[in-house]
Amino acid sequence: MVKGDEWMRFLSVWFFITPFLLLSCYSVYFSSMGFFWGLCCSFVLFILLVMSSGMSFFFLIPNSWVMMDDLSFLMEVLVLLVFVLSVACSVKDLSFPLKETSKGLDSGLALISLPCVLFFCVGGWMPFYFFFEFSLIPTLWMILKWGYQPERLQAGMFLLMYTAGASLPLLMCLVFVLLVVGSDSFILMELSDTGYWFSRWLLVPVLLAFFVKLPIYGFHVWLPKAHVEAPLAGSMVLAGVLLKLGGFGLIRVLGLLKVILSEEALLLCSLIIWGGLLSSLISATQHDIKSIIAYSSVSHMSLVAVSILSCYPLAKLAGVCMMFAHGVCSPCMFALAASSYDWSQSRSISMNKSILRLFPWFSFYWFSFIVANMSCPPSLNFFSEVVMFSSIKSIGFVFILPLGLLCEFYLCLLYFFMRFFEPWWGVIFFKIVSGY
Amino acid sequence: MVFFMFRSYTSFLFSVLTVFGVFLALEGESMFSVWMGMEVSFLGVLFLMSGETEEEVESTMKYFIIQVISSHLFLLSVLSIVGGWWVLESPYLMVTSLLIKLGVFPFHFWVPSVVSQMSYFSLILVSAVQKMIPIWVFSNLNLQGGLLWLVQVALVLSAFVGAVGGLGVLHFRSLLAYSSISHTCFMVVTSFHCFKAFLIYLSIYFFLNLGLVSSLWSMKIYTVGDLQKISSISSESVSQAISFYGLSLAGMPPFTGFFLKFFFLVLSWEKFPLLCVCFLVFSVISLYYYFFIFSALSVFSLFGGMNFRFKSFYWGWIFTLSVIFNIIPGFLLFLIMGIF
Repeated sequence: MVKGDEWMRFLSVWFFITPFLLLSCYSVYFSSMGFFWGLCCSFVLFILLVMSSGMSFFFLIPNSWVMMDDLSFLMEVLVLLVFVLSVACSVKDLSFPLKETSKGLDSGLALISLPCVLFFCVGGWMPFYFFFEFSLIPTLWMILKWGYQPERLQAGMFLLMYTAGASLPLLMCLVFVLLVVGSDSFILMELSDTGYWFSRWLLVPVLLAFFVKLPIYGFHVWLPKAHVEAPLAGSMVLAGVLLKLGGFGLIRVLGLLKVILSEEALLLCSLIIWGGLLSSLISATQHDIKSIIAYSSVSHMSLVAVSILSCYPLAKLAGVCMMFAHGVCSPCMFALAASSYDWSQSRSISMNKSILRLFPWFSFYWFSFIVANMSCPPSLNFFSEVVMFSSIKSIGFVFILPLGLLCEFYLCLLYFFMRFFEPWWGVIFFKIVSGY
Repeated sequence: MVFFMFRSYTSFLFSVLTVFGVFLALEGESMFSVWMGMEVSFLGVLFLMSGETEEEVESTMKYFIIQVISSHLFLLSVLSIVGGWWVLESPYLMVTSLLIKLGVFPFHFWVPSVVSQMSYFSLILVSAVQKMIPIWVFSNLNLQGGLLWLVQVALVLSAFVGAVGGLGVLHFRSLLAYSSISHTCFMVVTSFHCFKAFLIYLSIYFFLNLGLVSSLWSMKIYTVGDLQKISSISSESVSQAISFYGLSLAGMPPFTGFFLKFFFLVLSWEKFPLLCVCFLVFSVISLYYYFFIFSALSVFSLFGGMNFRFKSFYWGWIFTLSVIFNIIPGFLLFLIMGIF
């Protein structure tokens, strides 16, 4: 299936990337950030990554358990990047654990990354579901064991009940598909027309599971709670990888069940866009930095869902770009939030004002990642949003207004973060105390 | 466990009697041998149940009364079939007696009150071994029409009771009683497909339950309050390890218990789709109290209750058992399932 020529390209790209990964793993706290900002911005690198897999002709099936295409290859890259980034950024937690019980964070991270790596390359419905759910338990364990406040028990329960409760209907549907088709292999469904056999009602529970995992507004309650209670590494992996499981599953399911753009899908699209708008509004009203980032990732993920549901190939590509860019960008923002917490002992916006006076270089990183997240031109986000908006526009011109408003509220988000740079009396106090 | 069995000759005798009764019922040719096997096995369990404390004797008494009523109803229905009286009604009578014996919905009241006062060893006997003969009869009854519908309704309601009843319960034995109520429904539906499938389900459930119960028993944990007594380093990490059994019984994917759910769904989706939907909804509810077991047992390691200088990772037999039962088979079974 895969030619030797493409393997050479594959190897050469990894030959490029690996030194950067090693560098970022062993470098000091912030110097790795530059690399990841570059990654956020580099459209070129993305194209390289996609092209290295021979864009849409890459289809690797070594045995009956594994099926890899270009999308899953890209997601594997994302998982490894986020893993390295979260290990690099939680140096403090790794070297100086608060309690005796908060040791072993790296093993928890590896336990989350392992099912994600396996999830993106499975070749059948049942392993697909298995690893989709497998990633949940280590996340729960991560939140419960390495979180900071006692409320994390409630947050963990929300996480478990929402995602497990929504994915049991998915299991039922997958068993149904397995029994009807007679095999759970992806490649058989891809090559045959079995995807047309099922009624569209089958999609309701299937979409529900992925919408909860993404999350779409309305099923999103677990996400901000989990982000607020999770440790740094946990929320980085949660934002970077675990939300992408939902998007990846959506792409796989819509491709394999041969879904077309119907009126119900249009209804869903408009609801999702409206939800994205609302969640970006809500993110503007939060005062906890982590929940701001969480709500903004909810609205980003709703854009991804709309672009995948719109069934245009180009929009799908844009959705994948958005997933990749958001997967690199938002973990970095969480890392920056954690280091703001380190000096101010608070994640509140108002307590974190005036970083610019104290840490100009650090606030430059804040600025650059916020800008990348709200899709300023050099970033991959910009590219993906432009393509996405233009294709969503072509399914319905009405969608332009809420999408434009959504962009506006990203600007609003920027404004809120700009308040970091405002002066505040606390600075003077801090200067007096610390003797700067 | 084995030590307990061989501690005295009488308990060895009665455990042999229990197993012998099961074989008598399963291998016998007439309905009377089924009844006799039921009684013989029940006799053995009765002696094993009655322990030293008053609570155990009381729960044994309750269990005795309920089981005697149900097995006499069973005998009555068998006699009426043999004698030719009330032939139309006798299947209803037989199903009722079996439902009483299993503790399915309208007759589920005895299960938590009996199980919450028993010793852990007899909990295993009641929730796993004693299910075999009634479900053997169920799988051979070949229920159809209105009777099947009746049993389905009873099973759905029973699954609901098993899911909702366990919410907010702090005693591990009554929690396990509710979990056994809900697992009994799964078992009965599996046995409608064939008895071998039920045996597979029961054996996996038996080993999971055995692991959880024997670990709780060896650490002398009966309620949530007993968790405060956990003081040494090793028992803390052991309680963390056995907390996996909670999620495994709930049927969360990386653990073995998920295989049970998957097995159930694959077998019974085509015949009883509505039942599958209901059971899965209720298993989401019961996930709440399984999460409670999980979080309660691992609470020390989660919240860092104690300070100690160094912690050596203690691989006791309980820990090894937990890992072997919970994690490894689930993964292997799934890889095998991936081939199909």
